[in-house]
Amino acid sequence: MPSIGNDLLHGILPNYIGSFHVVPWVPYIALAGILGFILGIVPGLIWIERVVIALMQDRSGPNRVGPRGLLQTMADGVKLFFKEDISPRSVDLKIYYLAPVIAMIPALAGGGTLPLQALTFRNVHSGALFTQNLTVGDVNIGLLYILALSSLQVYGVVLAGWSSNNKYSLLGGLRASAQLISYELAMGLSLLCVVVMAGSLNLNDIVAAQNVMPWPLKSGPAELKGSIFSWYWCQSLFVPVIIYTIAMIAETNRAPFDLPEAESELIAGFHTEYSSMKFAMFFMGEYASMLTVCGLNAAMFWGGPLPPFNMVIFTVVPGVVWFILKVMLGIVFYVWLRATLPRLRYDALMNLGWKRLLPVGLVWLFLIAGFGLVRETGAANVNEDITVAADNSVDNPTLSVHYRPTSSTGEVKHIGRKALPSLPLPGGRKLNDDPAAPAPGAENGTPGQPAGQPAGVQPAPQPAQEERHEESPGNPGNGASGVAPLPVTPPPAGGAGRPNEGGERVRLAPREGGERRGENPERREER
Amino acid sequence: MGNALCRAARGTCSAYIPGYLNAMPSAPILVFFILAAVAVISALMVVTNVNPVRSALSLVVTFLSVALLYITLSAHFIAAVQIIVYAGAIMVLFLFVIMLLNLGAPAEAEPKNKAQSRAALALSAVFLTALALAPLVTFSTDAKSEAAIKNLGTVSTIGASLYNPALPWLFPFEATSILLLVAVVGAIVLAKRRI
Repeated sequence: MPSIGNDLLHGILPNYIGSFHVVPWVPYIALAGILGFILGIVPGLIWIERVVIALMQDRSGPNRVGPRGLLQTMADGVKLFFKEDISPRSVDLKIYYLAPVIAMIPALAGGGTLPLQALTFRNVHSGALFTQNLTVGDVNIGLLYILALSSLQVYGVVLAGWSSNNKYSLLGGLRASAQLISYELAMGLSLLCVVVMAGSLNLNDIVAAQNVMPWPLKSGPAELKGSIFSWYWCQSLFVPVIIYTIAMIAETNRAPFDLPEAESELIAGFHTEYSSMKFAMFFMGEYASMLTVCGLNAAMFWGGPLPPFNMVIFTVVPGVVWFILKVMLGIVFYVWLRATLPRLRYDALMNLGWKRLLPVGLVWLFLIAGFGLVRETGAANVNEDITVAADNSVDNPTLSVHYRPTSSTGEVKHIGRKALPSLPLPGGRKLNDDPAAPAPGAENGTPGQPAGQPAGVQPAPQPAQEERHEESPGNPGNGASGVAPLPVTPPPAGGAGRPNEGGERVRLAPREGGERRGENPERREER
Repeated sequence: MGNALCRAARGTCSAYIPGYLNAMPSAPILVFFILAAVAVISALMVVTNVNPVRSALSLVVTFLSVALLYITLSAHFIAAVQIIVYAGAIMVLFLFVIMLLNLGAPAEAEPKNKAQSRAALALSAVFLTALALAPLVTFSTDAKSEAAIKNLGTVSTIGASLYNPALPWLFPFEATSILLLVAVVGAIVLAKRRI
C-alpha cells in the first residue's frame, strides 16, 4: 500500500485519520466550505466589480482604504452596520422585516447541490480507492433543487416591494416577479438541453458525463478527454449556454436586466425604503445568487471541476479550484456586461424573453434530442445493433433506443448507468427486485457493488443521499471527476452472465460509448 | 420503536413509521411532527388572516413544509416539483393578482355570505369524515427492500413507471398534457380580440 504522503501528493485522501472516519463528514465539509465561501467572498466580489468597472470606464476606482482599495468594501459594510435602521410608519412591519431574510436564504441554500469536486479516498484497511463527491447534498434532483430555490428567491424582492407601501417599491417588486417568470422558462429549456444529453438531473452525474472524449472523436489524444471541447457549452452546440447566460442575468436582476431597481425610473426600486443591515442583506442576497447561478453555469456548461485539458499541469490543481475559477469568470462576465450595456426597456425585456429566447430554446431542445440519436449511432461500434423497440414484457417494461456497443474482446458492455429501481407491477409481481444487488458484468468490468461493503466505509448518514460513493475494491478512480461507476442495471430475474441478452434498458440520453468513461483508469494515479 | 431508531441511526428517513404512537421521539418522527405542525398552523393562517398577502405567504409556507415532508418520504422529485410548481409559479401569479387587487389600503372584511358558510361547514364535515375513515382503507403493503423504498421517489423511477406502456399511467399523463394545451389555447382565444 502506498504511503499516505505519496497518496496526498496525488490527491488521494485516507478515509481514516487516526480513528476519525472522514468520509461521512464530507458533506458537512462541503456545507461549511460553501457557506463560508459565499459569505466570505461577497466583499471580494464587490471589490472586483468596482475595480473592473473602473478599469473599463478608465478611472481609478477604489484606492484609498487599504492596498488597492481592498478594504473599501469592509469600510462600507461597517458604515452600513452603524447606519440608523429606519422603518417607515406605514409599512407592513412583519413582512418588511422578513423580506431581506427571504431574499438571502434561498441564495445561500442554492449552493447545496453544486458539484465542487470528486474526492478520491483510500481505504486505509484494504487499500482500495473510492470516490466521494464533495457536495452538500448529492441528490438525484440536484438541478431541480437549484431551480426551486431560485424561484423562491423572488419572494424576497416581491414582498419587499409590497410591504414597503411605496408605489415605486411595488412597481419594482412586480417587475421582478414578471421578469423571473418570463426568464425561468427560457432558462429551464436551455438546461433541459443539457439534461437530455447527460441523462441525469444530478449535477455530479452531469459533470461526469462531460468527462469523455469530445463528440466527433472516438479516440485520440488523452489530453482531450474531459477537455474544454467535451463540455456542454460546445457539445450542446453553443446556443443553450447563450440562452442560459442571458436568463441567469435576468434571474438575478443584474444589469442590463436590473429593471426592478432601475434608479432612473423607480428611485431604488424594491429596496427604496430599506436602510442599514436590511439593505445590506439584499445586497448580500444578490451577490450570493449571482454566485449560485454562475456555479450552475459552470457545472452544466463549463465542466464544473474538470480542468480545461487533461494534462498534468492542469490536473495537479484540485477540481475545486477550477470550479471557483469558472464561477469567478462568470462574475467578471456579469461586471463586463454591466459596464457595457445600457438597461433594457421593459417591453424589450419581455420581447427578448418570450419571443426570442423561448422559441429558440424550444427548437434547440428538439434539435438536441435528435442530435442525440446521431451522436449515439455515430459513437457506437460497427457491430452494434440498434433496436428501437417497445418492449411490453413486464420484466423490462421500458421503451428505449437501445444499442449494444461491443468492446474489442467482443463482450457486451453496458451503457446504462443507473440501476432500474424496483417497481410494483399489477398482479403483485415486481421487477428487478433489488436495485442494489450485485450486477454481473458491471461497467469497466468491475464486479459491481459488493453486497458486503468493506468494513468501516459506511456511507455518510445523509438521508437525501444516494449511496454511491463506494467503489468496489480493485477499481481505481474513474477519470478526473471520478464519479464512482455505478452498478449497471441488474439483469432481469434469471438473467445470468450476459444480463443484457434480449432485455431492454432505460437509456435516457445519448452518450458516447460506455467504454469511454473508463478509458483511462490510470489517470487518477497520475495526479 | 427499535425499527424507527435503527432507521434514524442509518439515516434512512423513510416516513413509514410503524407504531409511532408508542415510539420515543426519534429523529424522523420529530422531523415529521415539526413539519406537520408547521404545515397545519400555516394552513390555518391561510384562512384566518385578514390580509390576503399574508394568507398567500402562509400558503407558501404550507407548500414548503409539505415539500419537506415529501423529502422525508424520499420522494425527492415530487418535493422539488412541489416547490417549483406550487410555491414558485402559482404563488407568484397569485401574488400578482392579490397585489393588483389590493393596492394600498388593507382589505376590509367583507360581509359574510350565509349560504357560503353553511356550504363550507357541510363540505368540511364530509371531508373530515373521509379523513377519519382513511385509516380503514388498507393499501397493499408489499414488503420492499430498503433500497427499493429509497429509490421509490427518484426521477428515474418516476420516469420509468410514468412512461411505461405496461402500467396504467401513460394515458392519464398524455391526457393531462392535452388538457393543458386546451387551457393555453383557451387563454389566448379569450385574451386576443382578433386572432
